[in-house]
Amino acid sequence: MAKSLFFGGKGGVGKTSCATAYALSCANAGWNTLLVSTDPAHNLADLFGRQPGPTPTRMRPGLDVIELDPDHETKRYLDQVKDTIKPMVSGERSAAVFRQLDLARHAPGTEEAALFDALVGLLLDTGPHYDRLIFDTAPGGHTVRLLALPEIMGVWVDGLMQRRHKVRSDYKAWLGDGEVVDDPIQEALMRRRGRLAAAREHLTCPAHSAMILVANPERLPALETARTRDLLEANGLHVGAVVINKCLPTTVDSQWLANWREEQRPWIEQLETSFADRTCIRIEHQPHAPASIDDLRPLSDALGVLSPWQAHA
Amino acid sequence: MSRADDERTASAGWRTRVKRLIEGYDSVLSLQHRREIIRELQDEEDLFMLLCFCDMMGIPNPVGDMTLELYPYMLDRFHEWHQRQGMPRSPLDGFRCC
Repeated sequence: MAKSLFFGGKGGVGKTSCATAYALSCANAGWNTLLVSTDPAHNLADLFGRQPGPTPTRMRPGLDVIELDPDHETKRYLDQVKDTIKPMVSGERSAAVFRQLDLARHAPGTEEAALFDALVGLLLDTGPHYDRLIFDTAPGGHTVRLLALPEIMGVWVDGLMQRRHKVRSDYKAWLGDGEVVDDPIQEALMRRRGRLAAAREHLTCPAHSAMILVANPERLPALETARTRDLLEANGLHVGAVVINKCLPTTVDSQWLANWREEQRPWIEQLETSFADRTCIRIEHQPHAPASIDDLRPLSDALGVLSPWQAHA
Repeated sequence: MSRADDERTASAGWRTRVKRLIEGYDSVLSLQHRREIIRELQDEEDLFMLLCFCDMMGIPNPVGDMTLELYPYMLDRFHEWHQRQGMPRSPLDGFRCC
């Protein structure tokens, strides 16, 4: 079964660069690797000289890349919901429901749900073809809580569907029709529950799945990263390491930069203290943004040692 | 009318009264039962309202976005609820059940 690795952290800390660098070292080590990017601003096309798409594209020997466009995935997710609902509502009703769904497109949780749905698909359907799945994102807060309390979904769905069951069965009884009609909504929800359960098995198994938190040596990222680790671990997800990215190198050009390097020091120490029981990797700030695979070599070298999955006890 | 007829009429009248008494007692019993059921349903509605709108009350609902297929049911139940509460139109701008 594939092992999956998720690089989490706030925007701009270097998740995509780290994930790409790590995926490259996996491929070089001989693992059949899939890199998944959800970063809409990534420059993977520049790095690989080829534009990745929503299906796996072979970029290097042993390395395929998929790009998940959040807007695209949200639209696809909502269209799927509409297709499921359509046969169940008529005319006026369907206009109200579809209008509501279009409003949902911009609700904060919808994109997270859509991306997680795509992620589940990759884990369950695409994953088995690879040895390593590397993601430049980690499951969001809502998803993480749901993974810890899957019963919530049962309570919610059963509670809302109960009344409908009663109405339907009465109607059927009145018609004298004893046949059980498949409810496509119920089917879709049961299918999703099953897939979430399977994904949860994988994600909460430290032998198969791990999170790497990427931080920059500044106040806000340092504090957030510790909080994020607590949230993930409280909900059954294993955090394997912290990557402290964009550390100003010792050989800096000016007093001005030396000052900023000094400002970083306490935050590097803080992070290394919070993560004393985990692997800490420092990565130096590079002279420019990565424009080629070679530019990622220092990152690959620093990260290549990571094997954060726990062996079976 | 004969004495026998009188007696028959009298006992028929008595039977009707007893029957009405029993029916009345029955409806009292079932009214109690119905009240309990109604109370239970209202509790269910409270739970339903809580689940639907807990986001607004500051309680996170991680599941709602993954169960959008339930919208038709939510719209129906919310619509019934606001009508029961005496609101002829939907009180929420963002939730158009009617």
